[in-house]
Amino acid sequence: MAEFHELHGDYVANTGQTINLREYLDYFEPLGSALSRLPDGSGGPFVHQFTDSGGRTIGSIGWVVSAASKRFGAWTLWGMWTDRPVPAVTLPLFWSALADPSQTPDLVERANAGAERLFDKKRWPDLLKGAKTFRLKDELREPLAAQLEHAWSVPPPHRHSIEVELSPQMLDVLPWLYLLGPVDPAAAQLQPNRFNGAGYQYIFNDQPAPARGGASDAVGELVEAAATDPASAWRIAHQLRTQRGGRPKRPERPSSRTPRVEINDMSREPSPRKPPMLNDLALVGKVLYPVLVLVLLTWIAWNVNTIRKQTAVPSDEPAPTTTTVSPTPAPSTAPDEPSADPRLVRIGTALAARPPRNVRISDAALAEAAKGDANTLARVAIEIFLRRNNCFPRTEVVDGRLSTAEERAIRTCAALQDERLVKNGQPDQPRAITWLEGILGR
Amino acid sequence: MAELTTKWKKGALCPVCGGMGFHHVPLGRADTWYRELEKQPQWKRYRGLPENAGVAFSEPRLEWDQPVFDFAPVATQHVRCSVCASLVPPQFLGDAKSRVLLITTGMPQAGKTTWLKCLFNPAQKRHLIAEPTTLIKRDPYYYIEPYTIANPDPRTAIPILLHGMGLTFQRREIGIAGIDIKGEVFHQRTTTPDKYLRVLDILKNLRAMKFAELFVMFVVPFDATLTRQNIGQLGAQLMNEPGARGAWQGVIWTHLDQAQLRSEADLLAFLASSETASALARRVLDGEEPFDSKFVAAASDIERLVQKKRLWAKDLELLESLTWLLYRIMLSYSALPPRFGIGNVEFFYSFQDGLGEKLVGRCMALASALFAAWDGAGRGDFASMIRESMTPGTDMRFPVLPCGLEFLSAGSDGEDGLPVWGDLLLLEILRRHG
Repeated sequence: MAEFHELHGDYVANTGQTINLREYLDYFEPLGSALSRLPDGSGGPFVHQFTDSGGRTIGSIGWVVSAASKRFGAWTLWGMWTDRPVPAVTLPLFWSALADPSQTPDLVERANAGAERLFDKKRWPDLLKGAKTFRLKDELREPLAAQLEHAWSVPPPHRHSIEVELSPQMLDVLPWLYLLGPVDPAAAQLQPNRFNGAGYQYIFNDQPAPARGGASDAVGELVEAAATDPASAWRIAHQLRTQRGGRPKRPERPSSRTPRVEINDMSREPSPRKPPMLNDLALVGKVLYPVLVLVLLTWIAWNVNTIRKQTAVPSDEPAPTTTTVSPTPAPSTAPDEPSADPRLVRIGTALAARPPRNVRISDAALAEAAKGDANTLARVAIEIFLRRNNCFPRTEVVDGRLSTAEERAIRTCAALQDERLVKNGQPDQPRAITWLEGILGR
Repeated sequence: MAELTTKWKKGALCPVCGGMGFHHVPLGRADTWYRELEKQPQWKRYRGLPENAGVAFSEPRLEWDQPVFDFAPVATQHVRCSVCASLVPPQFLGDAKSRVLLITTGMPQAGKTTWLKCLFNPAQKRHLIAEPTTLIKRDPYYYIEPYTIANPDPRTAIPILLHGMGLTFQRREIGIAGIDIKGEVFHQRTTTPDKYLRVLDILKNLRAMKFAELFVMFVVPFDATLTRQNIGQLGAQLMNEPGARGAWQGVIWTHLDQAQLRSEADLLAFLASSETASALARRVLDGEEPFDSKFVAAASDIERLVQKKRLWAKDLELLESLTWLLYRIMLSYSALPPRFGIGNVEFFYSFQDGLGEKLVGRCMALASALFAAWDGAGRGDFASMIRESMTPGTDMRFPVLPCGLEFLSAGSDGEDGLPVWGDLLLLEILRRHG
């Protein structure tokens, strides 16, 4: 019996969303929801797996796009499904044909013809080596490095999806990220929507990905290896994952019916016995572990004691106010980091030096603004505008984030609409910043 | 400003599970809601959703707040059921004497969500008739889990949505507790039986609740071809027992803007037996003002002629022309309040002893006759409802709220369009409840 089957879903007028796996529509419906606001045809790949209440596991891979012309929120998808998790190597192997719905029957045929090899993880390196169409283009190196840097910076455990922002033109980065990212591809999901579980959620963004500093050595090595030999890059990624968290973790088992997840250890040659060196290392680890835990506990106890002593001393000084500061990335010393727009930095600095009268701005927002962060500046501008025009209480602190109440005020503030500082409910960045610049210059 | 808090009385029921325990919850980040939901499997279970299925809502950036699942240390406005963890709008928990239950259901693309959005928040919309007014104060509950009223819903697997709105008119305060049922639930009842059965349970819970009025609204789009499936073909169990006290069920007849004038000559020939009706039709055809001192008589004549004729199935084009005529009259009505320099509500209630109410009443009666004719020409899906409404003692012969879904400028997210006469139900609620 064939392992892989065609998967098709579409929006049918006056009927609603449909899929040929009819009884599983509920599992697939969220896949396309994130594409609601995108034009018709916008979308990307998905690698999706779930276990139904009867314990049956369905793995699927394909492409999902917005069908907004049919109805807001509608989607179309195509691909293939199987009765177990999709093998990790499937996405890179079939990447070139995945986006074309007319190739789906051929795709399924090819997958079924090679199903035995696909489900044998020992053969994955050879399969990947043989995939002539899966090569890293030069223009993708930099964006891939940036995305990998971001993904690898997310600390384990990866219980929730890692968000990845990219432009629709950069979709080719995704199979590489899937392969070389911090989540083992055997367990990873890839979707445009939010989901619970390990994997990557991609979010379309027309603006170039924000600079995140230079690529680390490890990521640089990964990208270099990917350009020459994807299989070796995968192996390096696997080693990194192993170093990071020991053996790659399986997703949490919600019930005894959780599907078996195939973990690819990508070892060069599967060996039945551990080499003696590794055995020694394991022994040393066993001895060292309790010692390290004991030292750590002692250190924590000592710190707690010190803090208690400090807080017990009465002080005449007023109690320190707690300010929530959003975590800011450590300053990068990488030489190729693009510098912020000097104009924005100037505006941010001016804002910190001469904030508008009778408006309180949080330190965190000022710090972000001083770096020339355009998003923060635009939001701060809108928040200040609302307060200056009595559309929002002046006593509320400007924090560079639009709260629900502020969003409501944005919708009802006539002065804001007249100034056209918002577009579709969101700050019109250039206009908002220009307005802010204007009031600071006065 | 004092923080709003919601209180509930003994005997309050959760509409989703029938639970009687509630607790306050605080607001939290919307973008972690779906993670928290994983720890509340009952939320999905009581909606007939598989436990492992994801629940999507507006993506990708969720920068607003959402009531979370944690217990609030102090009373807040937001309340969850302790059994099914559903967010229950305050209107479901308020005083039963001023509570109106509103159930809306319709097939996909019937215009249900658009109509509801109009009901909640016309001030944000460019509305053809009911401009924002200070006479009726609306105070919608902002959260329609898992959405907010400001965010249109992407289509999801969630079969029901709870919403609430407080209405204040003069000194009367009414809480509208609403439940929006997805039409797909009935359409796909064999493929998603859990959802279907859950919705039936919810309807049972709703009917067990105390309320001042129960409105069950079937949203049915105008369909000249009679091929489009409507909720009447699927939802017989939604209908109330004939003569149920305090229950009012009707049809929101949408998409009337799609009706076309098929034959001017046939239309005039049909109305020829009534001079006033012919004159009214001629004025509309010539683009003149349809309203004059004989309008009520003319509309009544058209209604009578429509009811008198049998076998409409053979004259669907004529029926469509008559529907077109109705919609033109509705549009003309929209120009009246501004012409007299007053608001829509004032025109409806008070101007010239409620002139608006009389005109709207006539249009609704005509709409009812036309809808019944379409129903009779088709499969007669609403025949039982029509018969029920014809029983002695009912004050409306057949409750049909006609509205177009004329999109003023087509937006990609469906936010820009509004149903014409979307406010009619609101006015009807106020009228009946008063």
